[in-house]
Amino acid sequence: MIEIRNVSKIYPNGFRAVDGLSLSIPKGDLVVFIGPSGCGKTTTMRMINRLIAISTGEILIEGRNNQEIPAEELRRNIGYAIQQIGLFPHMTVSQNIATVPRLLEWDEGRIRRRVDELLELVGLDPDLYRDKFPRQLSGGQQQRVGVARALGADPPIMLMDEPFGAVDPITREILQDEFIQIQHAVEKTIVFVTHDIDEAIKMGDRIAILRDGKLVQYDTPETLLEKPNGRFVRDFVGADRQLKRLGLVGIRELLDKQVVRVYMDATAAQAKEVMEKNGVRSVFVVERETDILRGWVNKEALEVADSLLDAMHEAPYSDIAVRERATAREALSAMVARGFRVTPVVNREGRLVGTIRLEAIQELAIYNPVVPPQALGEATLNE
Amino acid sequence: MNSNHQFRVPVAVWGWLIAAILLFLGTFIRLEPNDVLLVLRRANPFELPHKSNPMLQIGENSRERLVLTYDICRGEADSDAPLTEQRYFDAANCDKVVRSGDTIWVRIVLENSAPISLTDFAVTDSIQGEIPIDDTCWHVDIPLRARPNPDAGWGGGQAGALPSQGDKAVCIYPHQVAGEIEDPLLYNMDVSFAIGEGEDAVAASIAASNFIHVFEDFPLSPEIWLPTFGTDNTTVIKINSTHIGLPVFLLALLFGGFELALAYFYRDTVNKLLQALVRAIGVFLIFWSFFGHEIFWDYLLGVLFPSALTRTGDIELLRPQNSVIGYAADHLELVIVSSLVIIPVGLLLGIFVTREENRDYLPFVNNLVNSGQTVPTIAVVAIMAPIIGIGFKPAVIALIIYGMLPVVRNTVAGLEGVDPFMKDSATGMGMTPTQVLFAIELPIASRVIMAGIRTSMVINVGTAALGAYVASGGLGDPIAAGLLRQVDPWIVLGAVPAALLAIILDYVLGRVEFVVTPRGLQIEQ
Repeated sequence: MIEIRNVSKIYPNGFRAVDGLSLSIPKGDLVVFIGPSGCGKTTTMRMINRLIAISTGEILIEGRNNQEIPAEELRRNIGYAIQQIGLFPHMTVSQNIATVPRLLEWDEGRIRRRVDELLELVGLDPDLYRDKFPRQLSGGQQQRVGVARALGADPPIMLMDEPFGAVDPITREILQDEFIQIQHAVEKTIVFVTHDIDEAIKMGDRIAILRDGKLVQYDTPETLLEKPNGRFVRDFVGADRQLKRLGLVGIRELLDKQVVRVYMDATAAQAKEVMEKNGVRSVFVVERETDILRGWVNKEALEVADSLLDAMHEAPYSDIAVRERATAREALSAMVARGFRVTPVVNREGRLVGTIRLEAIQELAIYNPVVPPQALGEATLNE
Repeated sequence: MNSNHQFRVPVAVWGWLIAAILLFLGTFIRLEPNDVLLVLRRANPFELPHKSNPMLQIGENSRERLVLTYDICRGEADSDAPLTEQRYFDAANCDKVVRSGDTIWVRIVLENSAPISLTDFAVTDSIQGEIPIDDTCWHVDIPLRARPNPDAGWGGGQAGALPSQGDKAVCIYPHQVAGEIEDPLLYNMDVSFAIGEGEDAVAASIAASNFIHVFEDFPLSPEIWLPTFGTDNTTVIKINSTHIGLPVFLLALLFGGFELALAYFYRDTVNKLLQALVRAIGVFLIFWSFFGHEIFWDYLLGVLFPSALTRTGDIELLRPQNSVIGYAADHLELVIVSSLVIIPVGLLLGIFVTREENRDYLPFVNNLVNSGQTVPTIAVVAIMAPIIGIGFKPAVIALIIYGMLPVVRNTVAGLEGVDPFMKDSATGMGMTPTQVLFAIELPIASRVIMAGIRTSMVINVGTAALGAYVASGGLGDPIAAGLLRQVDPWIVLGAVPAALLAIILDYVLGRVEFVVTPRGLQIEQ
């Protein structure tokens, strides 16, 4: 729990980098500070671990004023990762990660175990990477080591200043996904600074938008996209904010589980009967035992064909279906790409679990139903 | 830890081996053939019957003269009339005769410039003057190149007879005189001659044959704490061709062995630090022993100034007062003593001005350091004379002033060059400013800082040569004296070792730089 109370940073020339900022960061949440350059987001973050002195106001960490804690002690209990990573080139990966544990004078055995544990957490094989030097690593691996180093002494709070800023977009995406998983496992209170709104929406439990040192809006990503507070925020989150919001919604609660289906070994007559009974013009075809989606068949084709297999459009599920863990945005994208008004949804094995209608997604965008936080977590975990 | 690496002999070992072979072959380099070195040596006085006689004393203050008379015979020893020469050697103050304990080294340049062999040469009369020789046993070591006919007896090659009791003539015996017919040439050994009588001659020759093992004046210059494997003039000024102090080739073999052992015992680790250090020390010692290898310098002078060598009377001029290694040791002492001050002070100054709170001084120090380099070196040295006087101290102070600049400049550059994000993340993780300095800044800057120290020391090898103008000693001395008196060999004996010293120092410090640079920084991205 970090409590920022009416904090200002005034430079000697009178410039107010941060101006009367107040916000509170709940324990275990990842709060993203975002805003244009010079908005004071990094300054605010650096005031939390006193790398920059506060001019007025106070910052409470777990109820204690951070000015009362000796600066070094304070910083050793707050993980710190920056965009430039700042890995020490003369130290091995394990020495880098062990920086804070060494400062805290842990014993060597504990440090070694902790280093291996962290390397595994960030997805690097300890035996391969422990004794490498930073210059032997790729940019993505360096970022991972940077994160591992920030987690070094298991601090309850972490400050991250664009920690994935220095890598290519594909690697960044992978690192973000991994970090979300790590955060689910470690549940730190994290202050995350970025200027990338997509990253903020993806990563943040809450997003604080700053402008000229002042807080403009502090809300969950959904609220921010749904009810932007004024023109600045609206512009900042972008014209496609509804689309972005769909990206936060999992498709599970939009799922229509009553799917009309026929089995592959059915006859053409049986299929026609199913269609008539349900009043539809086409049905999905699945395997009998496994329920794996194999294609679809429509009424017109059945009229002229001899058997169901002749009439069906055969297609692997990976081509026509979306996964059940996809977001509404991905489902919409798939429908637009394939020209479907209804898309099948399959689980990991390819079993047909339901369908999504285009109207359902449109309704979601228009009526803004409240999305439970559970769904959000699962939606972003999607691979 | 069991190795899964195949052990391979490092290339450097072959390098050392080749060096050893070359150096060994180099020991067969000889002086000009008409330059004969006589070693008059009192055989072990404690084992001879005439113990009553005090050791030979030619005091530094005495004006006693050593008179040596010898014959030079041409052609058949008994047919031609011997040409007898009588030469006087001022024992106290002449670099042709140098006394060291019981040994007197006499260098004779034969005026007849045609090559002779020792068949032609014999000491016919004794050492005269006030030196009592009648009951002292002497022997004469004659280098390999100039050896007598083993069949020859004494007195200009006449075969035969032993001297009788009381005979004052100098007897020259092949050293296995006691009936054993062995060809000294075959054994590649020095031939010893004894001046004495009867049994003493045998004893003397045995003692002389032991001479090759005697390193009683193993030189260790106490002022500088560096072993000088060569010789310097306070101990022995001339050595026989086969006696090169501690033979350099053995040294080369030793370091080859070291490298092999290190490579073997550390084959499992990637640690190359020890090898680098061993090689640096080895290369330094090899070259250092060359400084003491007077034969080498004689040979060099002989090649460069062939006429000077043979001209009568020029021999004194060929060599300056001190030996090469003596000058080199003085020189190195100047450089090392000044660096002992430069390195800590320069580092502290560089660290001081790069601290956040002292930033105000940085431009001032930067300007001072940069403009300091434009001051001519000779000006820095010369200005010391009117201020402090002459000698070692003013030279060292001048070296400190001049050598400080690269150290400070590189320390500042190295520390300023540390990525600010590195310092930011170190501080952000809770390091104190001192911890940031020692754990992050200095290691990252170490390569640049060490390069500054290396530059400083190598520059100071050059600057120290100018120290001769304030009479500091060192390799500048023979250069300055040679220029003044127009003696080219002196200039060569100062300039060549000075250049060599700068190159060796640069190499050694380069290895040190490699050792102090953290491994992680040696990997190129």
